Amino acid sequence: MNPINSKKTPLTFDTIEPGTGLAAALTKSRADIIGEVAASNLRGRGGAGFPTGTKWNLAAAARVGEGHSKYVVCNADEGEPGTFKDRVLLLDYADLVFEGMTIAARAIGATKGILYLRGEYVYMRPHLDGVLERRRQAGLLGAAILGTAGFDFDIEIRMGAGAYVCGEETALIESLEGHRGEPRNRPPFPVDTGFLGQPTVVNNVETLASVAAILSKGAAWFKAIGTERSAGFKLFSVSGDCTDPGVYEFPLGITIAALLAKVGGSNAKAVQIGGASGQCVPASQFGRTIAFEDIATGGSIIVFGQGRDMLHVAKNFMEFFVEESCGQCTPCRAGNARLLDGIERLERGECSTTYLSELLALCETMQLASKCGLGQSSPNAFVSIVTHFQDELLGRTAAQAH
Amino acid sequence: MSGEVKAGEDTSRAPRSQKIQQIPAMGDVSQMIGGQITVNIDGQDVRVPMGTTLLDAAKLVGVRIPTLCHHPDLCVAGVCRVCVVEVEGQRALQAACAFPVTGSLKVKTHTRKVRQARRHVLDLLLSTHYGECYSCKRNNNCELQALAKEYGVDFYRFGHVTESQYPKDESSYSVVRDMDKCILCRRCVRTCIDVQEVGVLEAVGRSNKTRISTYLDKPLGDVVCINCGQCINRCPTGALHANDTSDEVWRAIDDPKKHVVIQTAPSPRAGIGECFGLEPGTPMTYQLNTALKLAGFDKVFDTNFTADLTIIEEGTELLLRLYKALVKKEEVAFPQFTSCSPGWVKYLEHFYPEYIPNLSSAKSPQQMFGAVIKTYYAKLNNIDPKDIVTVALMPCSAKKFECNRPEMADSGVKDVDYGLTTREMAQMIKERAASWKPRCARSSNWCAASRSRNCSNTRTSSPCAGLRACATSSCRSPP
Amino acid sequence: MLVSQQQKLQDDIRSLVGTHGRTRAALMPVLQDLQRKYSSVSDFAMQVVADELGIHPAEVYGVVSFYAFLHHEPRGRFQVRLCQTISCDLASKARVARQLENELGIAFGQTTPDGRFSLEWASCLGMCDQGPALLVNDRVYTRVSPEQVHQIIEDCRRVFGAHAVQQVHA
Ligand SMILES: Cc1cc2nc3c(=O)[nH]c(=O)nc-3n(C[C@H](O)[C@H](O)[C@H](O)COP(=O)(O)O)c2cc1C
Ligand code: SF4
Ligand code: SF4
Ligand code: SF4
Ligand code: FES
Ligand code: FES
Repeated sequence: MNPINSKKTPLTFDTIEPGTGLAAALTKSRADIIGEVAASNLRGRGGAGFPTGTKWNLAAAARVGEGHSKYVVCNADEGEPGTFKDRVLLLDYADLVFEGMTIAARAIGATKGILYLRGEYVYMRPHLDGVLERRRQAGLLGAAILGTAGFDFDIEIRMGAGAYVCGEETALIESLEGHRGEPRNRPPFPVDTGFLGQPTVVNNVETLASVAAILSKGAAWFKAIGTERSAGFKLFSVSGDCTDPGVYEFPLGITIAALLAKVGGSNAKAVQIGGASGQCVPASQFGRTIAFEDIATGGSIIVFGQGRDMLHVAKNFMEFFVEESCGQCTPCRAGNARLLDGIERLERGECSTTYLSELLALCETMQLASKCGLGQSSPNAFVSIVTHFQDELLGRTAAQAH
Repeated sequence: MSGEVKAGEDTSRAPRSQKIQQIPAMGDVSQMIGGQITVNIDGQDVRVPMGTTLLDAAKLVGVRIPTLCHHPDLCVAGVCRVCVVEVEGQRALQAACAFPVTGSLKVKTHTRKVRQARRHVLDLLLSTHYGECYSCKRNNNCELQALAKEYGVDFYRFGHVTESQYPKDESSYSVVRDMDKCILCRRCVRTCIDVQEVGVLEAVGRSNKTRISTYLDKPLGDVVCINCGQCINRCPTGALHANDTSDEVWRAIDDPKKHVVIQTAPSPRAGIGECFGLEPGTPMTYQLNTALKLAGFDKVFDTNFTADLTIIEEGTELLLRLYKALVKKEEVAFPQFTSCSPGWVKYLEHFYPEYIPNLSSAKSPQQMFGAVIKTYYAKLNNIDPKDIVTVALMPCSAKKFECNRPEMADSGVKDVDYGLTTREMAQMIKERAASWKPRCARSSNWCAASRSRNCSNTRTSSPCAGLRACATSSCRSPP
Repeated sequence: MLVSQQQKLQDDIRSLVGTHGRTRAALMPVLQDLQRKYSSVSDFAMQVVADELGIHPAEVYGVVSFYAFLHHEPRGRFQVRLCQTISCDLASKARVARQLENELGIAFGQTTPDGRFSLEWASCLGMCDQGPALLVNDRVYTRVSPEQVHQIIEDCRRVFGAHAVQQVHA
């Protein structure tokens, strides 16, 4: 097997005929395209879950500077630990992704698209360049797309360079502009002040592919899947201690237990949902559902088997954040380092309960006062592990230390 | 220098951080009920124009929000997070300095969450802040210290570094960088890039390895820093300060063999009052002269004298150039530029070297003064130039660099030995003239009596008359 | 650096700027292409790039030092990056790491004295279902076991060898 391919279950995306979504979109007015997306209740698949229709509406209404253009950016920075569904989409369903971008462009009136591909995925470049070229030949990109006068749009691929934080949309834009990948203050939001100061829609790979599916099959079809507040199907990247890791599709609202049963991980001790920035759910709570109203996620599921040392897990996550914080704001730059410190103290069995609660208070500050989503979510894993596995963490002896 | 720029290409170095903060114009503001919005801050309503930051809005109703990375001269950064406030309806706290008001808001500025966050931010900054306040240049004048006090920091909640992490960079004659005390507010970066457009300082590395540094972490003395000292002015802590040579000056003063001469530029005379609690701009010429004499300088002169010399020299040079160009039809660089600012000169040398021929070859007043003292004055008073120490009291740190430029020693000895800034001089006065100061520092009016025109004569030709008059008559009044 | 090499580097940068545009937004693509071709963005290269794009060298350095895939100090032709994040960690990346160090004779963060290999940690490579994952320049290896390490390194020496040399002299 090609090392890049992942095991995957059949996906709804297999049933979408490429091109049908765009064709349907071109029969609609711009407002109607956005209306369709809004009606589907599609929420961003990148993690934050912002309603896509609303985002597009804002960008469509935003004014563009003289001689500039609006932009559609596809966020393919997929850096969240345990996430790899965007890789599968880009390799196997690139047409749907680009189609989604084209539809977005039509909807908001953008003429330029950028696929921001993480540096680690550089091996996809030839494939994606090929797809883009083919689409240009077929009149699906370029001037007057599919003969629609005045609809010009092309897509350029730009690479990341090994920075998780560049998945954050404003950091991504900073990186595109040739700066350090440091998130901006928001507001203003990218929908009115984005790339080069112009209105920019940033959407996740899966969100855009879903848009193509929605336009193809209709909002009602999409909305019928999932729950009231979390419409549609969602891809999950499953890894860790289970028999069948890979990419899965489930409707939103699935319980953790049901999901684990499907992936051969029923015997798990805990599951990390939403990657390093998500939360660690112990077996006692496997009845909870994965949906925006309960546990929201960009789709990363990491299964921890019975024998796993949760402190070691927490340490790995904190090491990740200490490595990947952009270092701009105080709570995240210094806070993550202090949390990692705390974990090392726990490892040595040198952490008092008082200090531990001091650290939990610090976690609250980080969640509230950090400048961007990274620092706001980096303490999640620490908090949930300390909350659920406290007796495993305290009073360690040297023999237990790694 | 970069190649040709084609039309439409964006090579602007204008403040980028400001550009991205721009909020697109709102259309016709007059149509929008005056473009004003009501914000409720801690229960008080205030009407502000669209786009006003919460920080400014709070100021209008007298609510003080602490800040560290914010600076009124600079574009918004929003990185220290000490100014966070609670905005109703938002899960996370918002940085008041970076949050533009675009709709009606309810804001609380000191809830439990806010106070906890501020205290934690300070605790975190202090956990990596190496150094003790009492041995710091900015003791009692430090924004971090002041906030720590304000928020009741009485122990290091998250520990404290016990070892220096960065070597002190003392390579520059003008600016000392002590990164152990840096809180990464980036005010210096924004100053150097956005305001000065020199671009020496930048954030380097990432995460907890982020540091403020120079190109390839070179010492400041080896990069294109123009020594303007603007970064020092905006640093909230002791991480940046001027390269202080007052110890050397003291040594010279205390050495009976040395004849120590000081020249004072006009600006410090108007500025030094601020160091003693007076309104900035209070004229202090005479009081300062007194103080300098009391501090032990042998002679005090006014730089104005050589400012005149410089103008004469430059004027002569211009005439000469014109003569060459118009009469002898030679190739001469025009216009002729002149600046007494060594920062400006260095900027031109680094960034516009093609204009070096346009620079006047006349020395600045500071250097001319040094040269006059070490030659003409030395001869006149029959002192060996090697025994003369010339000190310049100047408003700017670049002057320290200037007097150390290798070419500034035509006579074989350095024209000017040491440059001191206003702040350093104030420190010296406080230190040495302690017994004298209290008599002068009556109420908040330092040496107020001497503002009478008693000591009128401070012309360089006979400086001591004025000084004596000042020292004896004006400052005699008991406290 | 020899003058002729400097000249070549300068020409390269000029042509890259020609391709990507003389704007700050072109900075990342230019640096990435340089990194690919020369295995690092040298001191001299950063200055030329800054000059060409009309920005300050310190800003270029700030950018290079920010991104994990850009380096200013010389790196090996093969950048061997082992994922250190959670799923690969659960899949025993520690043993692979040990073996990589043994095979290459260097620790993480170092470059072999012959300048061929640099070994470093990476954050999640997006291969979590098939860990431990390893990225060697543009090529991914998945489910790497300690026994395979030797072969992978040998493969590099042989298979990528010609390719990499080509790249350097292209
Ligand atoms: C630290 C951080 C990393 C992120 N990484 C990604 C990512 O790799 N891919 C992604 O699509 N969104 C990522 N996001 C979310 C984006 O900021 C943004 O919300 C998303 O791209 C919007 O697209 P969506 O609405 O389609 O989900 C990240 C956010 C944060 C705070
Ligand atoms: S929260 Fe972390 S990643 Fe986000 S801006 Fe602050 S330091 Fe950077
Ligand atoms: S002294 Fe001036 S030029 Fe030098 S680093 Fe400071 S601000 Fe920049
Ligand atoms: S040196 Fe001073 S101004 Fe610059 S970042 Fe550090 S604390 Fe802020
Ligand atoms: S003062 Fe507002 S974030 Fe620093
Ligand atoms: S955790 Fe190693 S590839 Fe994702």
